[in-house]
This record gives sequence, C-alpha cells and structure tokens, in this order.
Amino acid sequence: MWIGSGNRLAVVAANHAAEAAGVRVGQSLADARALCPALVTKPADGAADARALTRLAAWCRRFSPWTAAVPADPEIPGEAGLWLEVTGCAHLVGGEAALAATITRAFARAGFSARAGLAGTPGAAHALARFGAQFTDQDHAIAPPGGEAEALSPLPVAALRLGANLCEGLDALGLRRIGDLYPLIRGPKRAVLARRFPSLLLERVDAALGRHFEPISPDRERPRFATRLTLPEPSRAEAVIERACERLVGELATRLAAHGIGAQRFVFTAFDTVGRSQRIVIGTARPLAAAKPLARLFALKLGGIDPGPGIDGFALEAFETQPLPLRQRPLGPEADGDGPRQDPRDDAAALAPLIDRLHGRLGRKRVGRIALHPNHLPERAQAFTTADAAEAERPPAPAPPETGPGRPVRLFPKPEPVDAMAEVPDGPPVWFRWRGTRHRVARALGPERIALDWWTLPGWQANPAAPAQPPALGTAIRDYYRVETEAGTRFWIYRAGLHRADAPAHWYLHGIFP
Amino acid sequence: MKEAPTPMRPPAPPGGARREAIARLKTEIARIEAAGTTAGSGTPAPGPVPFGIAAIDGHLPGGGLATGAVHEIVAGDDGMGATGFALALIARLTRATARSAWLWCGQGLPPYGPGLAGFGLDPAHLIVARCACDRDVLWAMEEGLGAPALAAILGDVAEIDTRAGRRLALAARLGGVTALLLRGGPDGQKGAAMPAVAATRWRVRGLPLAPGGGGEDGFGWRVDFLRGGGALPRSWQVLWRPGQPEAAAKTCEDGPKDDGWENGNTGGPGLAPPGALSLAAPLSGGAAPEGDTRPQRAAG
Repeated sequence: MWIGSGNRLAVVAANHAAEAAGVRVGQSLADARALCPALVTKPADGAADARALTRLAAWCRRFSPWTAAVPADPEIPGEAGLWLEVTGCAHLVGGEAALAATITRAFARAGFSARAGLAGTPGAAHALARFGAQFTDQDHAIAPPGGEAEALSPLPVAALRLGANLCEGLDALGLRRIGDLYPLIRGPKRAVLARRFPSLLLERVDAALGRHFEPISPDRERPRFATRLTLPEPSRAEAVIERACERLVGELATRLAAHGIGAQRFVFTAFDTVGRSQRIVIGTARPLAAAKPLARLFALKLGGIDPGPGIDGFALEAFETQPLPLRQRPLGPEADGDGPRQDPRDDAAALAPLIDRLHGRLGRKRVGRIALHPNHLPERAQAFTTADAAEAERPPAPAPPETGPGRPVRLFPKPEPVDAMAEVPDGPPVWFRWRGTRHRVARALGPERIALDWWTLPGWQANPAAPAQPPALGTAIRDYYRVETEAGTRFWIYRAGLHRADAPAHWYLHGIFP
Repeated sequence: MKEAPTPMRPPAPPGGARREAIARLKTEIARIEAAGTTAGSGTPAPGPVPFGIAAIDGHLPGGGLATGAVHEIVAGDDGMGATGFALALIARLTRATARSAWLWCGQGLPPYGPGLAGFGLDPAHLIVARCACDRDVLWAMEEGLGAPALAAILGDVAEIDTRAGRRLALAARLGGVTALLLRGGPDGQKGAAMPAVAATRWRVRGLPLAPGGGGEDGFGWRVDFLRGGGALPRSWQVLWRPGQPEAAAKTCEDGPKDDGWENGNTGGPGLAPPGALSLAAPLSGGAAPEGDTRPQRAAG
C-alpha cells in the first residue's frame, strides 16, 4: 500500500512477506521496488481505511465504552490505530494482560494483525503498541503503573509520533532513543530543547510521561433507532401482531420525529418461542418519520408472518437514517389544520406515499416511470426506470421528439413478422397477415426511414478481432408506414432493408396507433 | 300500494305542481349526495370535465365526464382506439384538475412513451405500476384512487367482479380521483362485461378515415356510449387531431347523411389542448348499429 505525499510516493503499509524482503513503512515506493522487484503495490484508500477504523472503534466498545479511531497521517508512519480508554475495564476480563490478550485474539480471529500497548498515558500506550514488539515475544506490551518512563526509554524517538523531519533532526544530534531525551527535558536544558525543536517534541514527551494530560476524544455514537417489545406470554393471534407493530411504529416514529430524522429502511422482526425470527423489511422512496404511513406500509406485509408455536417478542429498527428536510407550514387560516397540509400539486412529495405502497406489494422493480431517450430506434426511445432512481436523479426531461401522431401508443418490444404484399416493390403493402388475420390496407402514410446504428448490432459486435465488414448499404434501415386497415385499425409496419430483386421483402409490425 | 293518510303528510299537489316538487326534491337529493361525497377527502373533486364536444357534453348528465368516478372503456376491436380515447380523456382530466401525475396499472405493457406526446401528455408524469395479476391491478387502482395528487388512473383489467367494482367506485368517490378501466384491446379478453358499477360505459373502435378524410394526421373512432347516468345509449364518430390547437370539428346533428367535418371552437381558450376531440355525426340512436360508419367528406 502506498500513498502520495508531496512529490514522494511512500509505503504506508506492508505485509509480512514484504517486510521480510526489507520493505519498511515510510520508505519511498521507488526504494521499496528496488529492494523487492516482485513487490505488488496498490494505492492506499485513506477514506476507506478511515471508515473501517471507525467501524472497528465502534466494535471495540465491547471492551470499553470509550473508544476512538486515529486516522492515518502521511507524515507519521504507522499512526493509524485505535484508542481504548480501559480505566476500570480490565478487571472484567481478569486483569490488564488478559484484556490485551483478549483484544488481540479477537482481532486475529477477525483477520487483522493487531498489537496492543497498555500504559498509564495514551502516548506511552501508543509507543508500546507500535514499537514495543522488539522487547517482548507477546503481541502486547504493558507498562506497569508509573513505569512509563522506564518502559519507553529503550524505544526509538519515532515512537513519540513526531514526524520524519523531527526524527531526522534528533538523529543528527545523536538522540535516537526516548531515554536519550530524559536528561534534556528537565532543568536548564529544557529551554535549549524548546528553542531548537518545535514545541511538539516537548508536548509529546510530557504527554507520554504523564506530565501533561492528553485526552482521548471518543467517536460520537450515532443514535440508534430501535424499539422492542416483549410479550408476557406467546401469542398466535394476528391482532396481537398488528397491535405490537402499531405500538412499535408509534414509539419509533415519536423518537425519529424528536430527533428530526427520517429513515428509508425499516426492519420489523418477530421472535417466536422456538428461537426463530422472521423479518419484514420496508423501504420507502424518501425519508419517513410519520407513524401513520409507516403503519399502513407494514399492514401490507404483516400477513406474511407465520406465528408458528407463538410469538413472544418484536423489534423494530430504522436504517438509512438522515435528517428530514424542514417543511414550511403555511401561515393564515390553513395553518390551523392538524399537521402540515400538503399541496396536491407538490408532485413528488404527495406521490411518495403512493409509490411506497405500490413498492410494498408489487416490488420495487415493477413501479417506475418512463424516461425518453434521444434515440432514433423506436424500441430504444424509451426506457423504464424504477421509481427510486427516477426520484433520486431525474434527468431534465428532453423535449418530446414528436408532437404529431407519428408514434403509436402500443409498441411491441420485438417487432412481429407479418406476411405482406406490396403493389410496387418499394411501396406500402396492400394487405398483410398478422396473428392469423388478414388485413387489407385502405390508407398508408410514409415511408419514414429509420437507419439502425449498425455498429451496435450483434453480428457486428461479435467479432471485434477480425475487422468485419459493415452491413451492405441499405440493409440496416427500416421503412416505416402508418397503415390504416379497412376495418379502421391503424398499424405501424415496416419493411426491413431496401427492396432487392433477388430476395423477398421482410415486413414487420411494430406498433398500433389509437 | 295503498297508504293510510297521516296527519303529518302534506296534501298531494295536483298535476304539474307534483312534477315540479319531484324535480325540486331530485335536485335537493343530488346536492346532498354531492356534499356527502366530497366531505371525506381533503380535495374536493372538480365537477364534470367536459369533452369539449357539444354533442357529447349535451348528452351526458352533468355536461361531461364525472370526476371521482370509475368509467369503463371497452375496446371494440383489436386496435388501440379505446386506449387512445382514454388518453384523450386523461389529457382533458389533467388540465381540468390542474394535477399532472397519472397512474397506469396493468399486466401488459404501459403505453409507449413517445406516443403519448400526440395527446399532449408528458411521459415524465406517468407512473407505471406493472402488476402480476388482476388482483394486483385492482389493488393498485384502489390505492391510486386514494392519492389526491393523481389526475387520473388508467387500469388495464381483464377480470373484475361486482365486489371489486363496487370497491373501486367507492374509493373513487371518497378520493375524488377519476379512474378509467380499459377492457379488451389487443391483449385483453373481448366481451368480458363488467358488472354495472361504473359510472359510464363506453365502447370504442377504430374508424377508417376516407383518404384525406379529416386531414392526414388524425385518428377516427366510433364511440358508443353504452350506459351511465340515466342517459340513453348513443353513438358518435369522433376525430382526434393531434397538434392542432383549436381545430375541433363540430357535429352534424342529423345523422350520417351530412357528416362532414367542420371547424368550430369547442372549449375555452385556456383549455385548448394541443389535440382536440372533435365530433362528427351521432349515428342514428342505439349503441349497436353496424353498417356504414365511415365519415365522408362533405362536398360543401
């Protein structure tokens, strides 16, 4: 893993095999490649790493309620990690060593290689976790209470999170280990050190030794919207399930509304007495926090719950939460009504409940809108978009390509072949047979010639290696006629390709006019 | 039936006065019924939406297509005439209700988007609900009837029973939304009759236009009004001319003898649609007449 920092590409992470080959974190990518030509490199994704760390920090709340993620810093190699404030937590698992071992074991089981450092100050714990490996054969290092100075003394100065430049400066003076700094931070030499180096150095040393308090800021816990209900005794009655759902929906909606938050996914779980659980998942087109529409959406699906031997618990959770947009309530006499009134012309907002309910019963793929595409080919001039996509990013509607009656109201996705007879070779048909019925043409308008984009046709695309010949001139076109039968039905039929003396014409019926 | 006279009963008015009283009571009942139906929903349904064709509007009670009701349109042939007639009505309804969104539900294919432009409808306002069975179609229609943001609902239904029909009619009355039930057509079952719960029932089939008849851009339909609102069955020939702002031919009242298309204004200027329904020749009474229904160009 490498990352660009300034004009230098640096290694930010390396696996065991690479480290065995001599690759070190903080090296330039060019050096690493020179050391190990077979090195597989990938650019680091800092944002994804930070997200993963945040998730791990949340997971670590099982060990301590006070956890924080430290994002990677390109200046300080190996900075990324997790803080856990374990004061008062260690005895729960049998002491500090047991706690550190438990944590590293849990990470190893999850596929992470982790090292733990435990000390009285965050700075010391940080240094021990990253640089304490050389002094212990375990995957954790613990400084006894008050023993931070002694434990840190043999570690390199880089363990103080100082950055490469500062470390080089100290190195030039022969200050390579943290212990080398101890004589300099007390007495008159402290002023010299403060003048010579940025204040960061003294801050970090003081913090690591506990002379200066360094707080850990925990990640803010996002409110979780979930309610649950336990029945005093199991029930199989439908009415009980309905009542329970109604009550949970009411509670959840109250909490969501209090936070000004709406959710787009709701999961209702019913637990029965033999330990099975059944889930009903509801998705909505826009964030929802109101009890009534939510209850109606669930009412559509509650019948799918099989009570089995009896249900004794329910839970309702809200996911994909986001702040609700504020609605302005009208002033004047209308404001006296109960709740905000919706303007029926406020299309998207007023239609959302309907679309949600259609989704609930018909499925998300079956409800949507028709989007026009600027394509000459009739079957590609429109596409069905699901309502979610349509509401999320509705493209500016292109001007309707035709205002006249040039397009039918029924278009067959696949043109249907018909037998047809034309009076003149490239004229409209005089009769045709479609679905077993013979129609005589009384009137025909056209032709309207539509050329196909032959480069997208299957035969042309099939063989990109061999340069295929474009189709012969005049074969990839359609001549459309609007014909009216003697009975009064109007069809859209076309002849594929130009008339050729050596081949019969192929006619297709593609649409029906009103 | 003989009734014992009670002291409370007013004396029966004689002759013409009685008819007058009955007429007064009828209007009173109509007023009460209208008030009762709109009380349930937040948005009262607008009054009947006129077709913009004097002959049809004059024949229908209320002067147009009742909103907040279910109307049934039966396809009389394999063409799309019934769909076209329904789309023309939806275009009228969207303008009259000032709502743009409308819902299509059915098992087959929704109307072809580019073809909607010919009726002045923007496909972006169409919500498509593709259903797996008739029960879902009826359910989706009922849901849509409760959504006051919709201008109209077009439902493609093959089978419907009295109970479902009554549910739809009730939902339409409460919600104030108009539903058009499309029956038959190229994908549907022909001859499937709906129980008499729709407010009106129509049958539409394509009508051949004589060469040049009605201009080259136009669709001719033979529209049979089968029943509804106590009006008698009647048939008309209707010409739909897309893209013509005010061209709307007027009727020739006296049958097929003189059935030329004339120009005339049929709607208010604000309602002038890009396409206009136009009417020719109410066919001689009754809904079932066959024979020569082809409009001919008038000489003069």
